[in-house]
Amino acid sequence: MKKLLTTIAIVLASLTLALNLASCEGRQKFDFTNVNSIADLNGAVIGAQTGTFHLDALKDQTKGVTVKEYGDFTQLLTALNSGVIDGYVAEEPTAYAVTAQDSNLTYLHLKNNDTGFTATASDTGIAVAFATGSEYVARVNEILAGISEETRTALMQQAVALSADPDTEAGSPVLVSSNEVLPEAATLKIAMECAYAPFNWSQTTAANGAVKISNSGNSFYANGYDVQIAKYIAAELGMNLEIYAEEWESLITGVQAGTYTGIIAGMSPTAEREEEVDFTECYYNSNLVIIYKK
Amino acid sequence: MQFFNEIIGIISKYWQMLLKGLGYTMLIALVGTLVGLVIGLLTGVLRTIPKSKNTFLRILQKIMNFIIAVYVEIFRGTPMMVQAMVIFWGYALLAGGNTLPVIGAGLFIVSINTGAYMAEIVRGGIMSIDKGQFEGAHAIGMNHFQTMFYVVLPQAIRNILPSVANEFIINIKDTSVLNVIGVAELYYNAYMIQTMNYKIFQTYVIVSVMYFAMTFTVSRLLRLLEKAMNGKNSYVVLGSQSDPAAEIRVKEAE
Repeated sequence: MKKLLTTIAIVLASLTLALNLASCEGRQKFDFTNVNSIADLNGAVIGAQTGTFHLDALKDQTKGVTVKEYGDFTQLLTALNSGVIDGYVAEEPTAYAVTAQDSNLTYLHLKNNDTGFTATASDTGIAVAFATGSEYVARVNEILAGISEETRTALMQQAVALSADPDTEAGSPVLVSSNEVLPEAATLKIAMECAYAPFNWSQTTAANGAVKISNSGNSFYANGYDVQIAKYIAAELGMNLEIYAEEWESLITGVQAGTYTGIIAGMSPTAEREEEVDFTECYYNSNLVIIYKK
Repeated sequence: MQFFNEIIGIISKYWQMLLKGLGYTMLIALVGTLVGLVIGLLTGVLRTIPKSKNTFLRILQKIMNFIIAVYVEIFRGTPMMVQAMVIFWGYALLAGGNTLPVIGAGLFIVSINTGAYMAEIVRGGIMSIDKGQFEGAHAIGMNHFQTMFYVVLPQAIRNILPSVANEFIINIKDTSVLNVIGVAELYYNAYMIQTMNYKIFQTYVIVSVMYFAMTFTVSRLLRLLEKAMNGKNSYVVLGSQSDPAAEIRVKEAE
């Protein structure tokens, strides 16, 4: 009898505790209504991805901000939705994609070197990386020069639209396509995270010109801005394309080892990375913004 | 209620990937544990060889014991995740860009890691066998290897079975660290799924249930194997000291 009563008491106590925890208000949230530039972020808790320029900029250029770092963008988004952080740093295209998917989210329209972060073109531009001394750099630069600024913007908009429902065939042709015929020659092995919409993401079907991820046990396909650029480059080079999903931290090692020919992963050509690999000219330039909850 | 709908939605959309991941996890854990056990038994037999009288053989034996000790200490003393990165990328850098096939690399890493633990488990198992068993086997003319294979190991294996089951269960869970080299096991597939649906909590709740289902099934199956190895509770001893035709029926109380 005593045992039964103790058990009931313990169960009741843990239930009350759980309910209390569930109903508590949590952390005081930061109010974004009067924020016009990064100088107004004092007191906010902002997240960024580990190993990116976003994180360095956040740490060095803001005052009074609690910086939290996470391994990838899904975690940042989950942290934002669960209230752990008030917002997170991302490239503007990511903000388009995220806010299109979830109407509760919006973003601070920051402009680099104005209201936003101080950044050079190579800090926020993204480029293709090859092994140091690679002959591909010059050839890919020529190919990239052929894609106009308008096409880049339009392709990014297309990628953003597709990322909302990637497994459904949209029926619209991809904006960059090559007329070159594949001679079944060498293979261009390109690595990316496949977890960074709208630059590159994973999906379960080959809809909208997605490419099979070669190292995922044949379960997943990659698509997005980077994938379409990779397809275009491979076609113009007259090579077959293989896409590999790889952790952000292992991308450069993979190219140095020769496992992958190149990286097309929304990667910015920062000075530290230039020491490890060679970059082409940027194939997209964007602003760093902060995504937050309305 | 919305939570359960989301769970059902994830399962119905991604069940194939989840099952595929489960298959690879089970394959790597099973093969890794079995190969690890074989490594453990081999090192156990080799390490218990009595000291040779021949000086040359004695030196050879010392070198072998040293190599086994280094292997056990290094692979037991570093995390499997780190071993995976070092072996996978080390090979890629040395082999000029060729990589090990990821599943093969996963099997290899789990096998040698488990082997290091099993070496110690088997050593403990052999130590647990009464000295009289060794002496008896030697007395009827068995050499070291015969003693091990016919007398000591069959008893030792029964004794270490709970520890082997432990290793198997640990392996089912620890294969998840192989996602760092891109092995498409259950955790890797769950990670890929949550990058697509942005539902971290729901996805990993499903996966945790799947892991538990695997470990629970395995622990129950191995308990059955233990029982089978114990033999029946009632048995018949044929022949006694005075009468070769006697049958002694033994029945143990439950």
